[in-house]
Amino acid sequence: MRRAARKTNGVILAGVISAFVVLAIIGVWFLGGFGDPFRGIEKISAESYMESAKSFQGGTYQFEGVVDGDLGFEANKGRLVSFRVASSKGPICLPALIPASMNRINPQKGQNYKLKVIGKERGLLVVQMMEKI
Amino acid sequence: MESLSKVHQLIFLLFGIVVISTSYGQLSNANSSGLNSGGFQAQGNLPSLPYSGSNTQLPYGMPEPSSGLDGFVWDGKKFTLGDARVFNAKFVGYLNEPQEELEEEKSYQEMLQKILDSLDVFRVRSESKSKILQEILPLLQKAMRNPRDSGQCRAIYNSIGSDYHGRDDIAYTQMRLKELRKDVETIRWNMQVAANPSEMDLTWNPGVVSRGHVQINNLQTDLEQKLAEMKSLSEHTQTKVVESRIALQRVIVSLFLSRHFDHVMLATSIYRFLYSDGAGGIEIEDSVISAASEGAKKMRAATSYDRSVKTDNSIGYSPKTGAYSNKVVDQRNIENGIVSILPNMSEVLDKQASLKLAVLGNIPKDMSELESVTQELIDQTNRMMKSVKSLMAQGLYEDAMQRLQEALLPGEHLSALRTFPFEKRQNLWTYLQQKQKILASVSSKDYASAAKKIEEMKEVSKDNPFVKELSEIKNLQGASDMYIAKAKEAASRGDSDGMNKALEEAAKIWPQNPALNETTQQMNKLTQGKDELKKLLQQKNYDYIMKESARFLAVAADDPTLLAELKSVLEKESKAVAFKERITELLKRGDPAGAWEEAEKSIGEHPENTELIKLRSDAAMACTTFVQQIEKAKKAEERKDPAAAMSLYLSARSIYPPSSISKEAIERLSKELLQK
Repeated sequence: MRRAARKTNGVILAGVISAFVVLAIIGVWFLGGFGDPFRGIEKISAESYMESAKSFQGGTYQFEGVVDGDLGFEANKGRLVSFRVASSKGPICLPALIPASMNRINPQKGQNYKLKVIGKERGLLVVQMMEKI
Repeated sequence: MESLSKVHQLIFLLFGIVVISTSYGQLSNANSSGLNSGGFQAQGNLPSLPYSGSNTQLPYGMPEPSSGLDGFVWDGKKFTLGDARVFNAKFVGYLNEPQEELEEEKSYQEMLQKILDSLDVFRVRSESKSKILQEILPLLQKAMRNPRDSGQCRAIYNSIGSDYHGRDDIAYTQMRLKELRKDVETIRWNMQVAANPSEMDLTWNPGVVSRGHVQINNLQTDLEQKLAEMKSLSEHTQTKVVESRIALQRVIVSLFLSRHFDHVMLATSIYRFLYSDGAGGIEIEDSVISAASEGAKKMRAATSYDRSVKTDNSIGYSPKTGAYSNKVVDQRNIENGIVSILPNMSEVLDKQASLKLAVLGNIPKDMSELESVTQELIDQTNRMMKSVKSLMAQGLYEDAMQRLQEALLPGEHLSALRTFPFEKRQNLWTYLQQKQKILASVSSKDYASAAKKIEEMKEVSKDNPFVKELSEIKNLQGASDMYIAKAKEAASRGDSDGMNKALEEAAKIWPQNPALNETTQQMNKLTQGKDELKKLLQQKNYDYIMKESARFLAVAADDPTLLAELKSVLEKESKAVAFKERITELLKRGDPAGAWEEAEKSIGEHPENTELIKLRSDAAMACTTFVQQIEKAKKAEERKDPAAAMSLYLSARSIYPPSSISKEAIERLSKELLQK
């Protein structure tokens, strides 16, 4: 009887531990765990952006886009790049500023990137992070 | 020479009589006569050239204009008569009157000549009066029945009849006087007897008047009555003789004044035949002159006139009874619908009064002088008619017409004029009509037409009377053209007052100057064109201005402000046209987005250009997504949303990569976004 009781307690403990582990994993995943920087960032609505960019001010967004072209460069500010984003209404171009601090990145036309952007003043998307896909 | 001078004076007076006698007929219808309006009174009065402003000198030393071609010429003297139109009407009537039948005229003249031959002054002395009368009376009867005779032979015939009627009366009177003389002798004898009483009458009875005394008283009364009757009859006889003679004189003067000179010669011969004082003075009395003028005054126009004559022999000659003069003449001179044509008479009556005096002073004083003057007039007329024929043969119509006019004055009823061929009259009539047309054209200042007609007249007559007028017309035309040039010059300076003044002067000289009309139309067009252009500019109807650019450039040439505005509009419109062409081409090439962009740009410069708007609309229909993106981008830019605008422009460019609008906007917005 005692042996049976001891077996039952071990199963319960293993289950609790498993649940704890699972919960920990979920917690880490939610808290940006496992090294994915885009995890949990809202995908941007390109259609809405074209309707009113100002409303994106202050928000952080992510999107995937192909480099469409270089729109200009300002030493203090960085480089303004156009990204073609897919949408239900066809391709839409979104301008995004790659700040001067990220000048090591040199995007070329046609390259596909995943970007994390933040809506700055008047809705200008400033790249926080971008990685080639 | 004195006789010739007298002839001239008389012709002039005769003309006056003709004028007065016909003026009544003319007064009522002068205005309605088309010929008169182009006749002598249509004086070719060329106008004096107007002076412009203070410049009182005629341009280029213009000649003084002539005073026209009115009046007529007689014996080298020109008479300008206000009533020349009356003579002209008569002359025109003559030119259109059928020529007298040659045979008829010849036989009539032969009859007159036979009568004159019978009345030869020496024959009259040798032959008996009754024999001569026997010869001339049938001839006169025959002559007066000739259609050529219009009552002249009848008047002479009747005068002879009156004379013989008077002579019958005198014969009766002489017989009665003889009876009276016998009665007087008887009464005288009876009175002598009564004055010696018989014995039976000696009984004294103081209370009773003596029977002899009563008888003497009765005889005395009877004698006085007889003597009074004798005196009366004697005076009556004398009066009868004088009256008959004066009556024939009246006929002669009347024939003379009515210019029936053939009959004057005939009547004077008869006068000489009938009266011993054949060469005696013609006692022209006031009554004769009054009759002449009153005759004219009583001129009337009949709407119809019955001239049928029922004639019995009023006088004749019988071998038994001698001459008789008591038969009936029934001439039915019945006028129907008589219309009195005696309007304003005062003027004509004044002329009559002065003419009366003139006639009194110039009528020949005796029969010889009258015959001499008459013969001279006949000869002169015949010479003139020969001259007319000769001048016409040489093609000198003007001279021929003048000579014919001169001949017509005295010789209207003479054979030479009556037998003047109708064809020749019509040639002169055609010439006269041409002349009248020229005068009318000159009178109405229609110089172009007048000059043309004068040139045409050169082909008709070698002696063109309008050579001087033609030269004057050309000078006037030149002067008018000069003022038009002045008006154009003033117009080019924008001096409208000067232009109007110059045009006015040009019109005064030659109102129908075609250049004037043309210039006025040009000026009007210019003014109207300017108004139209201003209105179109105000309405921004540049499309129409562009279409009519050449015309409007000419219109605005003298207005620098308007011209500058027009040029600016035309420049813009030229660009718009270029835009249209490009857009159309792009559409044709299947580049609607490019066409739309071009249209969009052009409308920015020409917002009122409807054609561009239409083209833009057409292009937009073919590339709606692109257009929508651009429109949205513009709106985003307007609401200060540069990031959205950039996104939209970028999207539009991705649809139409060559988009210049997107390219410009992207560059502009990039700078904006990078600066902030």
